[in-house]
Amino acid sequence: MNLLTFSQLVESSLPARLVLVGGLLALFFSQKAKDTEGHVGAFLAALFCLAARDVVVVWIQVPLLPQLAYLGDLAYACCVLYIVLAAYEKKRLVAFLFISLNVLAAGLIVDVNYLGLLPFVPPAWVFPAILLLDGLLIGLLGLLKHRQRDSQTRQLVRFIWPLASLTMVAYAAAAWFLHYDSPVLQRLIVPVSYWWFLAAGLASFRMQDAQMVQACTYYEASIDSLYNLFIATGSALKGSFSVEDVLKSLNDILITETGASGGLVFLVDEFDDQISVKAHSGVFPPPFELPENLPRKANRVESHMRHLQLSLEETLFGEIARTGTDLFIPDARNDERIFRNGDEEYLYLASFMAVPLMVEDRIIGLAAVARNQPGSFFSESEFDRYKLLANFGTLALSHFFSFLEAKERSGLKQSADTAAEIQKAITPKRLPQFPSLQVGVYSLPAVGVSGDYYDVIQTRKDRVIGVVGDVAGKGVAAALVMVMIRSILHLVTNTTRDMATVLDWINRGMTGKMDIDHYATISVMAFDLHTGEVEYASAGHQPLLIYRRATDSIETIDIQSVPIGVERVTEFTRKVLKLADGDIVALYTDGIIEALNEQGKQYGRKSIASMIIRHKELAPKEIVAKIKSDLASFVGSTRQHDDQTVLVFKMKL
Amino acid sequence: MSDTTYLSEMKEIRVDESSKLFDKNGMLYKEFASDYRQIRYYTLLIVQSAPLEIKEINLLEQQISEVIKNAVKHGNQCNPDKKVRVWYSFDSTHARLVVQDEGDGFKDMEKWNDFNRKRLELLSKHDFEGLADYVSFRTQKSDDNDGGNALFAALEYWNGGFVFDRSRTAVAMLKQFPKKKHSMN
Repeated sequence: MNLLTFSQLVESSLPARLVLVGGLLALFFSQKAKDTEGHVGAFLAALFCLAARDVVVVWIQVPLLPQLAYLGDLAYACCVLYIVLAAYEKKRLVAFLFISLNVLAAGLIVDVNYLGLLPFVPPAWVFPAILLLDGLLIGLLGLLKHRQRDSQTRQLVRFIWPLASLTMVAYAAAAWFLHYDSPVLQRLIVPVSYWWFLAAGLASFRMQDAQMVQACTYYEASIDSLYNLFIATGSALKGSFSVEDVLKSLNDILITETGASGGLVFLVDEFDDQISVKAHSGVFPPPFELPENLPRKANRVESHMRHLQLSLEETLFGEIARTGTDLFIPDARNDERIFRNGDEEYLYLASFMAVPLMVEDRIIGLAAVARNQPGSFFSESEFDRYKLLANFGTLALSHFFSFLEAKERSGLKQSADTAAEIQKAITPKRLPQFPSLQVGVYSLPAVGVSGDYYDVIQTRKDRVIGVVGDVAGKGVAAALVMVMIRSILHLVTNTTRDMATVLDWINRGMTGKMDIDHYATISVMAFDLHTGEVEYASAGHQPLLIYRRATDSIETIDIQSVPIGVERVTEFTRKVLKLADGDIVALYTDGIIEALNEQGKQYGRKSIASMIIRHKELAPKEIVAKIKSDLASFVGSTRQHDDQTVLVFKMKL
Repeated sequence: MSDTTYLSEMKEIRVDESSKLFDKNGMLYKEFASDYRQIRYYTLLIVQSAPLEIKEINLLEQQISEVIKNAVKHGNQCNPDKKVRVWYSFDSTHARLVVQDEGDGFKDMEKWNDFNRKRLELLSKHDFEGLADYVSFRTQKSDDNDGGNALFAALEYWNGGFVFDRSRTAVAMLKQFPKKKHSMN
């Protein structure tokens, strides 16, 4: 084996040939990233074989040059055979046979030159003859080749087979007749024989471009469809907040964009495990067996489909909603999953596709479209488009559901806010104070309840009415009851009649006249600012607490009666008490005594009583402040469920 | 043709002192005098703690009203000196109550269960003529205001359980509200 010297190498054809092969390699390498079908790899392999052959033939001068060169040529021919034939599954056997033949020939070469196992030496023309045969075979197969052009590789093969075949044949013939060391072969024919690679590379580029343009066109159309989808569902939202309207426009757009004869949209029911049709448009022949007793009439079948309700175990619709898998049945007439109900137009299901509507991994329903014209099938790309649209449609739908939920929540909040505002508006901004009677209040509304009411009303120079009430229920209804009680109270308190009568008037004014529940407990007290005499009446309210300075103890006064609103005729009773200087009275609502701490214990009436005793020297404002902070430390971070009110008076005679 | 769906999910009223439905930890509490006139008011006081998200709040109110009515009327015999104690807790997924009266306990529980079993059997056999005698459960103490079927409904409604304690004067019940499938949370 002799290597060329440097000057010999420069003078040889090798550098030029390697540069040429290198350029071709670069051409195919640049396409490798976009190659989804794998043919670029075969081209690269063929080019590497060529490069190797050139190095062997030109640089490594060996006595057995022709045989070694044939070895390289056979490998190269195998690659080309593979390129041309591998694209067609049915020709793989032919490719395998011929590649085997080449390998056999290569084996012969090795044997003849190095091993000598075989008893005979094949004539030298056998090798170029096999090459020639390879080239002819490529040409022959290319001629026979069908018009299949459904993949990029097949398109490319259809373009290159005449070039590849011609080049192979010409090269093999030249090698046969001119011998390997012929300068004409080495310097002219070999480089020229590479040109078909250039053509193949450029053609492949062109095809990739065309594919990209096609993809762009597809995506443009998809974006148009999506735009239509969002316009349609969006305008359904403008018109109403009905789920049905939004689903109908979604369904309609799915039908239009897929060219279907009809479509269905199912939703999984809110609470039960079943699906029901929420939108139905066009003609949708049933894909499942219709009930026997259903009359086979177009309008009856349509109505059956329109009001379909299925468990997740029933029919292929139930299965899609259960498993979340797509279903694409282009030829529905010849598919066992589809039941054939009949040949009438409204029963003839030609083509079918369905997709689950999914938000992340939750299945909220499914959509299906159908065609009923015989022979009209949905295509693969229509199915792709359908899936895309359904996905985006689900997204729009899920936003719509979120919106409804937010709307509902804000509705609830708004109603609670309104009630709280009414409550705030009718409670006194600041309490009046009197030389002989000091007043203090602590009132904390609970979120969304708004049931407590308190008031201090001066009706005469020497007479002050104190009120604490608790309306049952919550929201605007409770606030309205509170407004009514306050209105009646303010109208009637300026009377010479007793407090029991005042309660009776309120009760008669409230009971049995309205359609809303209107129960309230209420305590009223009338103070005589000169004498310290107090009149006390209660309608089912919490007992009154009185701190007596004389005995330094708490007295509890309870008047049993039903609340306002239970019976129109109720006998309310009153008690007359006498307060001395320094005596304290407290009215409060159940929200205070039933306030829970983290251990589930209630604050209790006793806590209010002991707070009053402990702070008996303080003014009512300060006493309620003490109760407030004591209560706050008692409940800690436990959420409170009811309004809390305590109203405290102190006599200063 | 026999329909076994009624039998397969046969429900009956049970005594289960150790049921965790009786766990009163963290529950709100109210007590009432046994005043029949105020049952609606008591019910409202309790149900006002329920969040508005509970869609079927009227149904809930009706069922709570029935158990309070049972306690006031059949338990405490409307004796105003006897109290009805109610522990309750609500959120958007459940409603749980324990209602305790000071009466003699639900003596007719076995009779009621027999009655209910018979009724369900007739229902499963589609024997609607025989069923006519089993529409309403009545005892000697029943009066014209007793529908005699509130407990059938209660057993259906309180899907998380409806059990009495050993003294049969306290009943605990749980209703679970399913989570909405389309909810975005």
